[in-house]
Amino acid sequence: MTTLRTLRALALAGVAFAIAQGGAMAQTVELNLWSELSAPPESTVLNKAVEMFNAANPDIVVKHTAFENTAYETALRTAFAGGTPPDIAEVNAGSNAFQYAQSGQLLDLTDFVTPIEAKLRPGLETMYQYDGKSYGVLWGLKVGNILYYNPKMLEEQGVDPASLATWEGFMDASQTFLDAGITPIAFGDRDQWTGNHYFNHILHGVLSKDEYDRIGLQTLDPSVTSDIKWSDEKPVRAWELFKAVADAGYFTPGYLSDDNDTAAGLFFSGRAPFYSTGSWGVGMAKGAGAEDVALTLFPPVADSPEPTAIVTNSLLFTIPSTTKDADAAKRFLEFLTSEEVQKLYVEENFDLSPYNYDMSSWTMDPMLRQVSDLLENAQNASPFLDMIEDVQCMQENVNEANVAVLTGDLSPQDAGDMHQECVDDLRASRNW
Amino acid sequence: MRRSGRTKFHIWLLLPAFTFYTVFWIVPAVVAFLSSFTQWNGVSLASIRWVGLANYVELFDDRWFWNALRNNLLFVAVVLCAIIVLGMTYALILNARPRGHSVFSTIFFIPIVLSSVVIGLLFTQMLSPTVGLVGPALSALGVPGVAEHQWLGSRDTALPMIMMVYVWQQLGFAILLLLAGLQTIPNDYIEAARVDGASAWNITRHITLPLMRPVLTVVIVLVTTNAFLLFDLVVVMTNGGPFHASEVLSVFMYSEAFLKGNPGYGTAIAMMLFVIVLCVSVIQLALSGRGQKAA
Amino acid sequence: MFKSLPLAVRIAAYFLLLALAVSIVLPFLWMIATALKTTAEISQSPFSLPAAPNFGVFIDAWQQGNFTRLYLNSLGITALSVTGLIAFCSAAGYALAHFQFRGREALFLYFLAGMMIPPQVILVPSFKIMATLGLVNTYWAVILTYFAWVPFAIFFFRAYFAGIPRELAEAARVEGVSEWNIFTRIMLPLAKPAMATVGIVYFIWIFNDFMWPLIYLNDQSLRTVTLGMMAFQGSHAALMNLKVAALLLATAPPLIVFLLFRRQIQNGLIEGALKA
Repeated sequence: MTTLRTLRALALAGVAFAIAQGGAMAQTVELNLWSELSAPPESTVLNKAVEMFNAANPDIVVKHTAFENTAYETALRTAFAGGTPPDIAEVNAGSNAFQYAQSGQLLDLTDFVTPIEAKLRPGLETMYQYDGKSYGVLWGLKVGNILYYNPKMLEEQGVDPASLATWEGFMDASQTFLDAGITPIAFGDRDQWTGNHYFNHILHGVLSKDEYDRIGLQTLDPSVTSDIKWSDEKPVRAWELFKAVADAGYFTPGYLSDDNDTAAGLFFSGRAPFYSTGSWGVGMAKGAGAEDVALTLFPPVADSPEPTAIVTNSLLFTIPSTTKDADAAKRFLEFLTSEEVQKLYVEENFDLSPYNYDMSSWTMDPMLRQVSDLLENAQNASPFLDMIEDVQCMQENVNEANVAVLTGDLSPQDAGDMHQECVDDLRASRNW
Repeated sequence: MRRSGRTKFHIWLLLPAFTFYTVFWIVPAVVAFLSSFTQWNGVSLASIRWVGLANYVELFDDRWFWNALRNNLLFVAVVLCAIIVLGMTYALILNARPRGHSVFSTIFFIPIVLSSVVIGLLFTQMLSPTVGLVGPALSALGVPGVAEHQWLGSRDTALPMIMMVYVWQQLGFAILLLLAGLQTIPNDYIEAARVDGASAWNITRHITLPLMRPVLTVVIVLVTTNAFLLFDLVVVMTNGGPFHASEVLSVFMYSEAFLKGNPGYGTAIAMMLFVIVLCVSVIQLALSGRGQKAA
Repeated sequence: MFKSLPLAVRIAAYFLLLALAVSIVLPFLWMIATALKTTAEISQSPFSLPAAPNFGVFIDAWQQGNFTRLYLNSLGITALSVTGLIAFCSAAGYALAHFQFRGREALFLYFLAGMMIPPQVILVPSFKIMATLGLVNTYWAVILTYFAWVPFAIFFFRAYFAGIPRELAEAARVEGVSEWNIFTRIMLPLAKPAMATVGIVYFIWIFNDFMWPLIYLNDQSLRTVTLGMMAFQGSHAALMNLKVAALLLATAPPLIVFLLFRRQIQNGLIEGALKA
């Protein structure tokens, strides 16, 4: 008898629960949000933002699923291909987002984004505009072309940090260290993207913004053409300068076999005075507990047309066209751009904001402030090359080629010729 | 009645394993096979196009395919020879039961229980000229020129280093199997030969090795299959670099399908790999079968 | 027998044995010594023993890497997968060894063919199946994948059951024992050693697996030891001692299982490979 009563009670409770659920379901919409922000501090900030949004909007429940970085690309591609993407998707701004836009899988958000653009820093539109339409809102801003140095080691060798303002000065300083028996530049190109970034920044210094943007975008946008070919003097000069660093012996001995983390470790433990990585290096320095760290802009060549220009990178929050509720999703996107959330992001994340809020009262790491000043004083900003060039040409001719140039398998001119051939073939195959 | 009940029973026994294996292993493999005849961007199924044999034709013109195939064959050949020769040597030594043989065989087996990822990370660290063990050791020994050598970052040494680590990892397993094979050989044979005055070398050459044939076949087939499918170790240690120098087929496939966004082309490479492994295994088994009949 | 060999051969043999043993033990000693040193010590004197061994590094690595969570995930996934595999594959192996039916040999070959498929090939289609089933980012995605790792276990159980005389089951049938009871009451108890071997071997394989957790278990709370350890390597760039400590923490379980069950693993693998 008791068993029966218990069972009946359980059944009733179950029914009641189901009704309650049904009632709640009728009023709220649940939005799935996917991102690759799976590690603190980035994940913490986004989770906080989601919580804040859910609390302020009782009719919407955003559910965040964080993916491990390397797996995210596979997961998202497969979900899109299978027709089951999330309601809101974080993607890398630029070419990565454009491939989804190209195949019609993202909502055109032009009307929604236009008012938000008013508070955006200038020059960042290339990261989310494709074919004249806008496909998402930016979250966070990273600066790529930064050189970190160890001020204590520079002082010991009598090198003035101001001499790092040009590439030539940087090379002279490197020679000073080499002469003193210290290999100057911590670098590990095992995973290829580090060499890609080096080449990226050297090239960016050699070209003007217009030239730089066009030479990349010509593979993504049918309407863009480039006066400069990869086989021309300027891009080849960038390869030559890159190769010269290795030939001079400035890179740490494991430069082809170490990964980026190992190289960073060499710099943070005071074994090499120079290391180049993006603004995320500020957070890495904190994590490593390194104290003797200072930064400056990645040195452009002395004859650079725009020596203070910046290379940037950002994440884009997009709405896949299969979303459950586009209006609810837009409300979340707008919330992400609010001052409240951006302040949270900057203060906890060692990162900058793509929006023009007054940051003077925000709590920021001094080094991050310095990056922010570099950004304020920059002539202009461009995305990373890998964000504005089609992966079909980028992977082989920058990622793989940069290693080949260092090993001598490709001469700088060969690298340029191959790259141009790929671009020509790609445009021809698409009838552009 | 019972007869029919019994015939049904084996179906129930087989059903769970068959279902999981078919749904989660064979069906994906068949889908992969079909997608090797297509071209698409990996993002939108709307972009999928049936291209027939185009991917396979393209493979034959792709110098990086031949490069990966060459590396793969070289890898398998070197690693197989090394494992068989070293494995047999160590098995013969251990079979003679020197003092401490069981401690040695336990130690030799340790690498096989570690994951390739851990082993890869460990050796990458040790071989690095900046943070490693090998560089400082060489400079302490008075060869500072070699101390800065990038073992994994140089065209000449990257693949050989991976071969070495692979042999290190797999040798214990081969020793174990070969030792077990040696222990099944009846002692009488050897004793009889010894009484007849045969030398140790002649006993090994004319009695032990022929009797070991079946075990050797198993070891050869297992090592060959595993070595062809090599992936983790390369990805962790060199990522196929520098500039394709240590790229094997599975890594080449991964980079085409996932990094360059050509899933159709990638699966075509994978299918070639499958066919090669299948052929090599069948040939090896056929050869050993014929040898057995002849003997 | 060893003593009867010439002295030179014996010396050479010992040299070879010691060389291989040292090459295996040395990296472990290096890892332990490195973990116990300070970062400054590591770069200045890579060979020396730690001046003041810092055992706290393991606790730091454990806490920062959230190894409690990682271990619970890994052990849970491994235990469930191994139990399932033993259940399904012992049944299938028994059926293939003791029952006569049409297509038996073909079915056996079908089960073996999976060994030759490079797992990277089926990555994308498998992911699609799991996504369709809504299982991505759940433990089930990896567990179901491991349930498909049947070839070796079926191969092994079939060989083992083939060694059990059929008369045993026939006698029970005459007594009127049901097929189910013959399998569970007579055959499975006899197959305990085989189950132990398969269990241990698969424990090591599944615990060490990296690729499937990498693509299916993205949520940080679901990560396995191998996955978490990789992420740890990336986020502690400059702290060599912590990185190595995490590496040691990740190798511990398979190593302990191996040392505890050494005999069973060795004998099991030998049988499995030799009964071909």
